[in-house]
Amino acid sequence: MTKPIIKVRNLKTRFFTEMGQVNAVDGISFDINQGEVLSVVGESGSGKSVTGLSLMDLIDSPGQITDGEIWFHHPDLAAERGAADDAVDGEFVNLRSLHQKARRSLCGTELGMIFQDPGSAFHPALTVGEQIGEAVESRRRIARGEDYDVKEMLLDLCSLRSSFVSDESYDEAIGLLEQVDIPDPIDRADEYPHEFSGGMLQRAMVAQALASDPAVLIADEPTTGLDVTIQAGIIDLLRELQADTGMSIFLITHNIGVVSSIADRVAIMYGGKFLELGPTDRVFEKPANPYTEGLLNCLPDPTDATNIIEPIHGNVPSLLDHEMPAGCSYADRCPAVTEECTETNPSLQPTPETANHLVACIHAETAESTTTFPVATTTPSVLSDGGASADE
Amino acid sequence: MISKRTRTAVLKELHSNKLATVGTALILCMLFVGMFAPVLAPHDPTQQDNSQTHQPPAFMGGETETTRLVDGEMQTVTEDNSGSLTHPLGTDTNGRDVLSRAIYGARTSLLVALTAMMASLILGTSVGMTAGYFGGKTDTILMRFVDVVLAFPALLITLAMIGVIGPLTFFIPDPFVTSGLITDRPTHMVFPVTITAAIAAVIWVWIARVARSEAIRVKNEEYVTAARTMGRSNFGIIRKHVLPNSITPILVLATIQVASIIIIESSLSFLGFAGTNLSWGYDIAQGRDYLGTSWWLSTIPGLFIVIAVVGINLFGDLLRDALDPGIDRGEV
Repeated sequence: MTKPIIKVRNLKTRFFTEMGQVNAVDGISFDINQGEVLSVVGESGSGKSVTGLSLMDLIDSPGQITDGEIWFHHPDLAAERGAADDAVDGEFVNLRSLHQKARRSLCGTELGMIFQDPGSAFHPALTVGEQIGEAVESRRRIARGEDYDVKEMLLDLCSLRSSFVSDESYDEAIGLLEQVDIPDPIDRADEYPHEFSGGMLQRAMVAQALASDPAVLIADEPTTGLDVTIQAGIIDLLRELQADTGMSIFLITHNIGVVSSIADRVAIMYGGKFLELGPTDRVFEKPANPYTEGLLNCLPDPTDATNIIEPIHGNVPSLLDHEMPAGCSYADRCPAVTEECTETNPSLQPTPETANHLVACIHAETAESTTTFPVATTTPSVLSDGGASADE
Repeated sequence: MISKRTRTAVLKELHSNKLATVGTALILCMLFVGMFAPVLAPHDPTQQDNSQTHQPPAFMGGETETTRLVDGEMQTVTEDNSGSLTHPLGTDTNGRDVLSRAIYGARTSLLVALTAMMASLILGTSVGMTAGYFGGKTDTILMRFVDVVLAFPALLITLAMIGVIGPLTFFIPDPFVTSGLITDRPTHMVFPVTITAAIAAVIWVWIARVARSEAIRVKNEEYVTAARTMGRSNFGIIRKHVLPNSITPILVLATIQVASIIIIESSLSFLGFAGTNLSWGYDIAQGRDYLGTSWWLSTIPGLFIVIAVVGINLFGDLLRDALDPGIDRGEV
């Protein structure tokens, strides 16, 4: 039985720019289960990175999470705050109702993040070991309940030989480097980011995220910009670490190959919304949404030279509020578009076969039923059957 | 505090850039002179001697013809008017040694300049970092205040502040004299508190602006975001990432501001707000009336100001070239 660790409900992240309001994330709901890899796939500008940043509370002005709840499974904190608290629901805590400081300390202890470009995610003038050590030290200090406020900063500035990172944390950082398969971790820890290759630095980045000992790791395009063998290495590493630590991974990527090799479930994101969400093999074998199908058709097949790649024509829609079409955001590029599509905005609905395979398309059932599999009516019995089979 | 890399960069720049070497030499000379003023000054700078007024510098030789009343009748007499080594740079209207006064003036100027610079460095960096890092309303309120201060000429604000606060001075015992090493010199250094405070109050805004823009630049770097995902607090991030990455341009600016502070200080003492009469500006003002006959009275302290300001500016250029990796080290 899978238990969710994060429950996102109706999350809306908006950017208030001079051009107008941008609905980068437009009311999405999903669960991340314990120990699973949930992957979000979509084109650039579909809002997947913003979703990840919203989970980490890294949205800065002019952006803002305007609505929705992010429930995080944290029994201790929930017990501490008491059941009467609005921010508590059973063993879950709503991250959005937490004070910024409490929110931030959760970041260092329960949530970790890997960034797309490790070259810029490391401070160029500090050694890699020092920076991973900083994450370790930060987690330890939060665990000890220590603050780092104006007073600490001033004391730190006044003492000439001050180092935030203790020796033990630095040693632990070396251990983490070893864990992510970096050779000579002791020597490497003393090197600067520019002395690392891209793949090595991405591994170091993973080590830095692991330093927080996270329950959920958010990986924002961890393999983009790396060559294929190194990509495979990073994906292997993530899979191993996930098996070892039992953490959940929220993987943001636009590489479907990566998704199919690691993800348990996949969400297809487009125009700030999820168009499809379901078990990876299910979604890729029987895509219920025309957009997913379109994405899959864009994949080259190295074994079959005659297989023609069909690009999806057109561009990602503008996410500006006043330019957004009334209906489905994919309508103007969709091959199966009907007049109805431009009028009604579809919401995620379970497909007839499997309850945990959700799709947002008004044509989904009919389209699927006529082409791929025999007509199935949405009856409670079918739904519960599907749900049971998915849980097995 | 100062990394090996920084040190090698500064030394390399010193070797390759002649002007920078000159600047550094000038500024070190000035500091040396200011620190060891009681040892270096040949006379007590406040010692008056009415028999030795308007003595020219030692290198001035020769005789001058003057027409004056001798034995009841007007006569044109030739007088020996060459300088003597007793007063190498001559004496002023009251017979005080010009060189000693200039040396002691260096002390006042540097004391004021360095203190005011430190004060504005601390204030400016704090305000700029806070405004830049936190942004939003904090930024707006702080920076609009900075803009208001920037909108007025520095001298005007300092004059107004001196008018409001009044001349406060602080006497610091001179270690050379109190230890009995040197006698016949002023026993205390005069530290003009009002002037220092007034100057710091106008200089910090420049530093705040640079600090703010640097903080904004750095806080948008991805490694700051990464630090946030580690759960570092805002002040922790400022200390570890934002400040170290923005301090270089701030330090370079602060160095160059020392030169402006010296000029403001001299202007204020020229106008008579010195708080002490051992100041270059004060001496220039005193000698102004005798420019036609005793040019050295104003020229010598003026030259000292020039040396200090040029030295500091060249040194500031050196720091900028050495510390900014993006700067083009091509031939000018």
